[in-house]
Amino acid sequence: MRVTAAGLRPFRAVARSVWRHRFGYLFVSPFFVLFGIFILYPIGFSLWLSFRNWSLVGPSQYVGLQNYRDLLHDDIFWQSMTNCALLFLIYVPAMTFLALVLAAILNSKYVRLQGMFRTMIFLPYVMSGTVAAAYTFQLILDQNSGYANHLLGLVGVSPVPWLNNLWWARVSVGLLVLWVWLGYNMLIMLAGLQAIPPELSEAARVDGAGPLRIFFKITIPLLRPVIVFAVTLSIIGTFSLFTEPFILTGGGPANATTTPVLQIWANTFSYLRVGYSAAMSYVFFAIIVIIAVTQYFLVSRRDTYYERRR
Amino acid sequence: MKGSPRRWRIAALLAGTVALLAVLVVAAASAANKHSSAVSGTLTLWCTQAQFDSLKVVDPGFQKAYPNITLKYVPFQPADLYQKLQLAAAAGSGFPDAVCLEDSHMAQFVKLGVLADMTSLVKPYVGKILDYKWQQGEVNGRYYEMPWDAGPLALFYRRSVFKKAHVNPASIHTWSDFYKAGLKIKKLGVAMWIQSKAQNDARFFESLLWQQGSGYVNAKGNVTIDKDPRALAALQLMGKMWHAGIISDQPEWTDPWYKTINDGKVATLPMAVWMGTFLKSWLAPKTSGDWGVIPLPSFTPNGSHYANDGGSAISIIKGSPNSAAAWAYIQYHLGRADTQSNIYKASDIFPSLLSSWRSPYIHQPDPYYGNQKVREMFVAAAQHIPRAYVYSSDYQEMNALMSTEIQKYGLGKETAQQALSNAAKEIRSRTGRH
Repeated sequence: MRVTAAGLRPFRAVARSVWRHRFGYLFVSPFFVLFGIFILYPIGFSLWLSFRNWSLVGPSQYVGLQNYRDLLHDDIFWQSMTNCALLFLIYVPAMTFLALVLAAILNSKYVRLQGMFRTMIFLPYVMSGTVAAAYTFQLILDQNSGYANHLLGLVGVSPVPWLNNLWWARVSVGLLVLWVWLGYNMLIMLAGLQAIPPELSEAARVDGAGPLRIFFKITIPLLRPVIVFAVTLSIIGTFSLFTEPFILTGGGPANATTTPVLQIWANTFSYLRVGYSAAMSYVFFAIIVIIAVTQYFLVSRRDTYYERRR
Repeated sequence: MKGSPRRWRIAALLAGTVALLAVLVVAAASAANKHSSAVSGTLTLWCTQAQFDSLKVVDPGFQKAYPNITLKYVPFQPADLYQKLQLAAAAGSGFPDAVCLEDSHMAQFVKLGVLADMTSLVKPYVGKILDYKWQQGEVNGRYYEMPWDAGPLALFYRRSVFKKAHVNPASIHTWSDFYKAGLKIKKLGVAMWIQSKAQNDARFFESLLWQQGSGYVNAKGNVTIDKDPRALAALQLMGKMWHAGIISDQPEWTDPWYKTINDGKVATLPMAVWMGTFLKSWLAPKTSGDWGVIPLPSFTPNGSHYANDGGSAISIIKGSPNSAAAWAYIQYHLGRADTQSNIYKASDIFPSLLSSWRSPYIHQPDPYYGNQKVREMFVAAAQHIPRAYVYSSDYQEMNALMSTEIQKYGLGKETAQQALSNAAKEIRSRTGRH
């Protein structure tokens, strides 16, 4: 094929522009090289693997859509998706609301020692000790000798089977996740609150609105994009849970707290069905994208205030 | 594609060097068998910390016999070891020279093809080691392991609890005797044994299968667990004891579990010999003297008292440049009566090498068990462990699927037969077995 001079022109322009900014590109290149090796390549490789059978060692065989067909009938995988949906309903509304309230309280100028409270609420997240926290929760929630049931017993509540009942086990995992991620969500909310100009609530106060009314009519509507952002992160986070159920419940009892990532992990490293796991990852990814996008369109609406400001 | 003559020459030179090196390595390896000081190299071994602690017992003698071998021990948590080994297998590099594998995981790694064919090395030991120990590491007459420890089960019991409940341990022959004793002991507020319902790991169930010479599959590898009356008997026994409240519902290997054992709130542990290692060293050293051991109860008056749980072996990695040193190590540590009985003496890791049982040490009383001669008992139990079909290349998945069904059964969501049928159905559809 002959390349015409006209066809080359845009290419030359791009090349010239790249050359002009060569040092800029050079300085940002490490990120893109690492991104390519550690993110893009595995993503592509997984897609390729998802059409094959592979046991980690030796050659793989092409099996077409067989992995995806098997996945349709994999009860444990669909149970794990259901578990995450239930878990989401158990803790995300509570966590988001609590994060919002705490952020609003810590944002008001009447609260003293704000820095200390912020640090304390954020600390569980920074500890990065999900593993340690999960073991601690295991001790606290033990049915026979845990602190939780001991304290409940003092007020006359009979022992709760925290980890020994399908529903309580989900609640327990939810509690642990809530405890770890509350501070992070609060911080996002706090940042959102501080971006709201104080004149708005002042004007409302002049017009005779009380603090509750200001919170529900001014703060929450203006915070909507931030809340949507936080909930989207929570959706992704809940469906990709691994460490918390892995340590606290091992995915049990009877698979009630198993998650897609636990299943992907088990199929890869315990059962050596790597192609099948890759197919699972892709289906799992597609479902998360669908849920997150749907959620985004359902909850977010055109933001008249910000648009007018623009 | 045509390479330049110069490139060909370099390639030929490289190939020649590699061939020469290979010849030298083989020569060194064969020479090694004659002169122990000629075996040299740095031997990298992957095992768990507990395994290293016991292997180290005989290291001074090994170092004297093989002064030119440097040992590099890399301890792992069991799960990490298998994962690391799989990743090395996938990458094709990063292997140790030899690795400790549990019998439950052996077949999977044999199937992966990462273990060296040790047939010519271990063949002389066939017949000198417990027969069932070869089951997982042998395929079509080729051997990929040197067996190490066996896990004969017995019934560990608390002397003080039995005395208080007026139960004579010698009266417990069958699981039905065990059940009756449990009812008496329950009145003291003490559990006969511990098995979690919601977090059951299926290990006790598997021991009960093994005791009856059964397993998840038959000798051909076909799934039989849903049609096997022995499996149903095993699961129903657990259900009966849960129902009567003589087994307490508690997750195993957790701090509350250790506390229950220490506090004397559980009367028996129908577990493998290696439980003694944990009890003595860190789990319950203060209860020394209060433990006794009797044979595992049988299902029928004339039934088998013998089962296995766990056990391990050491395998050489295929293509290891230090295979001669690795075999020297394995032969010294696992293949000699003196070293194996010393390891047993120091750590309660029970040898499967028959000649090591002739050590006078076997007949000595053990103060931890109130001066009972427990080792004689474990020797007697180990001799009769049958070949069973609990472990296989799909064991991990079978264990996970069975655990889930036992949990559902324990929580009253399904019957014993449903649990076995569901487990069998899942195992068949996932592993492609018949």
